[in-house]
Amino acid sequence: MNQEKVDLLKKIENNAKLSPLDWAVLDAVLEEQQESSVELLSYLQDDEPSLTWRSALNEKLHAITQSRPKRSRSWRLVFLSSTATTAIAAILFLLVLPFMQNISMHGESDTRIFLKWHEEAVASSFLPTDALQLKEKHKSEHVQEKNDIDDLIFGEPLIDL
Amino acid sequence: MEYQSGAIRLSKFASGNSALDASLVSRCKHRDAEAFTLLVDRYQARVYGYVRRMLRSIEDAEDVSQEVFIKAFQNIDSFDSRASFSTWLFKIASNLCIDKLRKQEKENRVGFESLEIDDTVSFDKSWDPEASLNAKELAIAIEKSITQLSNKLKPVLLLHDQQNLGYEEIAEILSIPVGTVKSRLFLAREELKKTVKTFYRSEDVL
Repeated sequence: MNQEKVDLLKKIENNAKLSPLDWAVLDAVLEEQQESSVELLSYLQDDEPSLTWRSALNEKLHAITQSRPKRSRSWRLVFLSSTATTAIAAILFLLVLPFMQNISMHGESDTRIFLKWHEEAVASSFLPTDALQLKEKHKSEHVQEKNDIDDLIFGEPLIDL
Repeated sequence: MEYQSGAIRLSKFASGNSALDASLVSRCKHRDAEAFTLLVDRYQARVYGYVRRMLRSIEDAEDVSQEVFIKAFQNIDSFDSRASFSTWLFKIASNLCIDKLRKQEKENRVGFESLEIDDTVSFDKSWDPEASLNAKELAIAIEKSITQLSNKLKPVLLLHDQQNLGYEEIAEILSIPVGTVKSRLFLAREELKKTVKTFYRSEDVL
């Protein structure tokens, strides 16, 4: 057992990988050492901290306990104020929303009006693409100017020749 | 040697009433400060003893052990009641000690010359003055040996052999595999054994 223990100690000190047999030896050694090691450590003095230590700890714990409600109150204030702000913002938004919709509708009708104007303007500035169309256009534009007396004196306008 | 006192201490730890802990923790979660005071009463000696041996300075140990209870009090709501309260408390203690030791290593202000070992304590192991003196000297030797253990070996030895926690609990507290707990415990005990052998100049102590 002693030689196995020495070998095991060397392996562990050298960080060598332990075999299943090594682990079994380790368990046995630890079991064997258990009682004497615990008994040795029992020779250490009891470590009861001083009353001063305990008193200081109690004061710190008391301070934490006292600060807890304050913190919760402050968190409640933060929560309430943020909720109130959100609610006011929501109400304002609901009040403003109809106006925004109205503006949006007006905007749409204006667009339609502009489109209509544009179509009329395009129609009025229609340009003929060939001579026959040009002649018809000229005729229609000069219908008012045609005079029978002029025709009688000067004959048919040159353009109609 | 007189081992009776050690056996009494062991049985005191072994009889740790987890049902009582669970009840007190439940009361703490309902903002019952008195329940936490009772938990401090139950664990202050164990936690303080563990922290004092993990750290080298008594002053640091007092500060850190207070911090352990303060952290536990502040985070009691996050404690999962299915786990053991003592495991959770020692996990907090171990983490705080490791943080403190790392800071000290960085600051490089702690050396072996600053070890604080209280040798004024009296032991009631025996009424015999000679035996009492031997016990006291042995205790000092053990204290020195523990202090000189590495930061990896020390918590394993203290948690297992002094605080009587199991391998699984220690693995959880230190966030290491159970196998590592076992191998470190073996190494720590071997180190302790060397010290005690030197003290007695005998091969028959362990």
